Amino acid sequence: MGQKNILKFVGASFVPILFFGIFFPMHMFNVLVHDQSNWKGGGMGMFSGFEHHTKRHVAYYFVTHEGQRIRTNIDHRVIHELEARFELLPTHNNAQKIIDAARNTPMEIVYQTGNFMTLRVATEFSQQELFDYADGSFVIELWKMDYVERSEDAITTNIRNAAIYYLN
Amino acid sequence: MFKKITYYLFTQDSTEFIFLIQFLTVPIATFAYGHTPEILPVLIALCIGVCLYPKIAQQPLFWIGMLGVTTYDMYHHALFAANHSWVVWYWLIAVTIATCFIRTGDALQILNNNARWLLIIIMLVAVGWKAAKPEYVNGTFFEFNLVSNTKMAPFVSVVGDLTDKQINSNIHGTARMFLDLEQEQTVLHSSWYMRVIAHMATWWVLLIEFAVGLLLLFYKKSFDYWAHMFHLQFMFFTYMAAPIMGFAWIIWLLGYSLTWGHSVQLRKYYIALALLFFVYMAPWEAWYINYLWHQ
Repeated sequence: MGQKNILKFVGASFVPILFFGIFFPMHMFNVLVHDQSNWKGGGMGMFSGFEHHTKRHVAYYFVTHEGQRIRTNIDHRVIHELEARFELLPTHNNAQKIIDAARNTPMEIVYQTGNFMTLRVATEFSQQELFDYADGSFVIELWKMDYVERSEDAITTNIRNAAIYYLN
Repeated sequence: MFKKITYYLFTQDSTEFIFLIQFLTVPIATFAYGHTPEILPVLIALCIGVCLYPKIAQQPLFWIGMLGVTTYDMYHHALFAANHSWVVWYWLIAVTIATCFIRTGDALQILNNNARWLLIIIMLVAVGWKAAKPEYVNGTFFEFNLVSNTKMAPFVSVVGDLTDKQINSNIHGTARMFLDLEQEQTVLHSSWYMRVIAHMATWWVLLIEFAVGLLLLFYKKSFDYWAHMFHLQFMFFTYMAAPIMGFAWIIWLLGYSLTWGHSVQLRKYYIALALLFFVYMAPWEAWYINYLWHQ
């Protein structure tokens, strides 16, 4: 094998490893700086701790003009995808995307009780009045599952509010 | 057909072995990657194409196409891609490059080198993450999963000492945790025996992953043999308890790609394990959850 061929061979042999060398530090940066889940994102960190996205939960609240917080559940595929994105990578930008998508989609209230409200995408056949987000601000919370203590025959787990974002 | 498959699985001809790895990569990359529903039909079509005309797996253009489709999917869903999806993607890059080097006679070395380094990275980086997490090292994380993870529930029902009722209560307890954010705590059933299993599994996984990664670093045949033995043992037990079959198949393929130059016996172990994987792939989780539901 000539010198040129050896270089070609070595280069060819390490291309995937080179890609790993690019994506792994990016993932590490996001885990350390933006609290990204280490289970996904190319960092090979699955099954190492509680940071799985199903152990995270996003809760969002619509704040009324009177300052009342109403927990909102929006039944919409695009919003669900953005929620999943936020659970994996809880940045301010990803939180804003959820709110922007909600604001840009006509919604109607399907259920409301006390401080809880379920919205869905309004269609041309919608019977309910369209929900108006105008001037309202939002609060988005990231909740995480964790464990507290272990006794002889039980594990006590808890959920905690890990991050909170105030958005307009 | 059976004779032909057996012949290729044990072939001592390097060109045939490369072809076998290319051929096996296609279904594994199609079904183990976890593609989005929009992309999957394209890959299934490529997979059917290879089954009907196996020789197309030797064409660089085929691999460029397969890699292109997967890269498109990865580009749009990188954040959601599980670790095994990334490994499949890296492996597709390696196979594509190796296919381009078939004429120069370097393809097998390229495949071997990439399989080795991907396994080293997967194992050692995983050890790094686990060692850095206190909840993993002290066994809590494994215990939590054993008692509440639906994937592990069938395994726990056989080897653990929790009753079906307790397992059911744990699964429902964790599933309901986020429904009521006011109720902050949930108590899961466990036992001293489950804790012992969790501790043993925690340290067994750490040590065996470390051993596989470390032994492969030496590029020595005798060390490689032991790396294979540990790797086989790792796959046998890990995917019995937690059948994450996407990961199972891709690390099986990486290991099998490294059997070139070793005894036929080693390949027999890999093939026996692959057959066992089909047993692991049965919907045990759904059957067990269904059984719990009707209790």
